[in-house]
Amino acid sequence: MLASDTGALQQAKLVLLGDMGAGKSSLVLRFVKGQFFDYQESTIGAAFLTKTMPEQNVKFEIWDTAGQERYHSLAPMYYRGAAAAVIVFDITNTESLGKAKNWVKELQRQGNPNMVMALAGNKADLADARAVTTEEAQTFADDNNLFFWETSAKTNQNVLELFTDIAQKLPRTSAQPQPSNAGITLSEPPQQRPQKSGCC
Amino acid sequence: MSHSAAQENGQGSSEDLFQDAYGFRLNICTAQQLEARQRCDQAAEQVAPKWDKVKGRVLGSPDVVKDAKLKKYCRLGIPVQHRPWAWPALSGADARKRKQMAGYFDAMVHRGEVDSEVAHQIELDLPRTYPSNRWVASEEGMDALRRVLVAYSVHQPSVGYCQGMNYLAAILLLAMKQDEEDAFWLLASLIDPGGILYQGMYAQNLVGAQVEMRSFEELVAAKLPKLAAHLRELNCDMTLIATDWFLCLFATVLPSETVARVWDALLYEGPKVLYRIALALLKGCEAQLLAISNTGDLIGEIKDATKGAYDRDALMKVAFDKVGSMPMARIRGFREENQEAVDSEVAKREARAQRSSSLSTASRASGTPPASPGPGHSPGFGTPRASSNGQGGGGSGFRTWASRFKLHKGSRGKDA
Ligand SMILES: Nc1nc2c(ncn2[C@@H]2O[C@H](COP(=O)(O)OP(=O)(O)O)[C@@H](O)[C@H]2O)c(=O)[nH]1
Ligand SMILES: [Mg+2]
Repeated sequence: MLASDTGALQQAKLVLLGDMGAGKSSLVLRFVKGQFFDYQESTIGAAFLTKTMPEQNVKFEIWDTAGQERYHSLAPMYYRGAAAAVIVFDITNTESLGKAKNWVKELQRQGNPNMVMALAGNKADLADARAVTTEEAQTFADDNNLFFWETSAKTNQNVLELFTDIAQKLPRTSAQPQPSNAGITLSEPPQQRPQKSGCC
Repeated sequence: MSHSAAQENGQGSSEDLFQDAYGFRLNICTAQQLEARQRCDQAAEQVAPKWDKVKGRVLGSPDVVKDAKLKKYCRLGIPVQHRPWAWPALSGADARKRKQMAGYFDAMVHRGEVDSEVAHQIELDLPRTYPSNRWVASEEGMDALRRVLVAYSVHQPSVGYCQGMNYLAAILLLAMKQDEEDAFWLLASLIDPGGILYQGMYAQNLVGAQVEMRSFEELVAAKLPKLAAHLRELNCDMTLIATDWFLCLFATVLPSETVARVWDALLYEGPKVLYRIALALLKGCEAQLLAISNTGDLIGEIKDATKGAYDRDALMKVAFDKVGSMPMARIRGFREENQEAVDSEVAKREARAQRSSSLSTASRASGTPPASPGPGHSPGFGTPRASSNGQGGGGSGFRTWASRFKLHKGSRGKDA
């Protein structure tokens, strides 16, 4: 029953949330396919993609959601049972940080309690238009136990780092493909030993 | 005065071979798909003379002509060249237009009372609407799309702009040979209260769309019970599969010629057509879906099936001849039940949100335009006030955007 750490790929459902235009789809596309388009189709409902990180022994099942306010009521469907969430804001847009904060609050209240959460301050390449300081976002992240990365889907800055970080923080379980209902628990008292790190 | 006549509908270049009738890249992967598309094109040619014949009768009537023969013709498909008159006439768009004063569309475009958040969201989506379609992605295409969407948001401020409407408007513009006024009235005939689609599809919380999806789920349980059980087992909610189907009327998932074909029937018959098409799509790949035990893979399989649906005749045939009867009374029953359920869930969620976030009301209020000077932050939807240009009216937080974004038809306008 403990066989999985070394053997089968761990599947992890990951959801992206955040304001319309923050760059959720672009981050996913960069991560999954290594591409960036100045203009990518806007997301209706949600898009589904997968990406395997063999070094981390993780297969991410990624739900990229729509950001417009009125789609909000569909979101629980996507974060329900998610092992990880990336909350994205646009560093050139203060309002998008406000929306990110609301998402964090909602996930804390209603998401899976073991969910690994990361905050991504995207469009870091647009330094001249920056409206949110690194410190402000970092402080918020620290206060809420989130990893924080400033990313750029455009230049590929910190994109891999972000997802690697998440992959490494996922609670390792033996339970495998989990069709999940609300509040799935990925790890009970997890044997926290970093079992797969022995080598290097 | 037009540098871009050559771009009309993306036609007229060597790229034609790889583009469909509306200027989208063909994504044909198999010989079967290629053959099917050609066969469907030929069939459309053959029915064209029929449409020449009915044209006079349909256009001569002040009300929408409703009869079984036309219904049959619409299901068989309206040829591309006939859609520019047939869609407005058969959908009720023309009738709506006639009920308003002449120049209503232009008035909506130029009134300049666009909610600033709405305008901002439209701007965000313009370049993200079919970026691979040459005309839609062109300056001219985006300008046209902007005018249609802005006009609609002024015409119907309670709807404003909802993501998804951009794709509808783009397909309408393409099918109407870029006639913005027709596209606008078609959009209105779909979405307006009392319009073709179920009420509230694009409302706050997408209540209408959620009702439609739940009703569809019940239909699937009745018509494709094995698949329904399988989906339940996988915990795969219908919204994961069908949100963009119902909100974009398949415009983001099917090849565009197939989309238009579906809309031929939809615009004439109403939203039951959406159920039929959705059922037909699921039925078409049911066997494969039953063999998949992972929600993600299942969604991927459905995506592939829809993307490759070049055989529009076959799709329509399954939808109308092979999924069995679908009495309206039954559908109405589903809808009533689900409307109640969704309404009460939304009310609960809102009460909860209100309780927990009475502190953070500020966050969604400031859809301020990029270069907005001074203290005039938009108050957002919740707090009406007089607009800064003193015109008040319609909704809340209006601001003059017409000057910032080019809402005015340039010299390229067809009436120039
Ligand atoms: N400069 C810059 N632009 C970006 C970046 N990420 C996304 N964008 C652009 O921002 C817009 C919205 O991105 P998108 O991924 O569609 O946002 P979503 O609505 O959150 O999915 C698009 O025009 C992207 O090209 C980035 O890192 N840098
Ligand atoms: Mg997106």
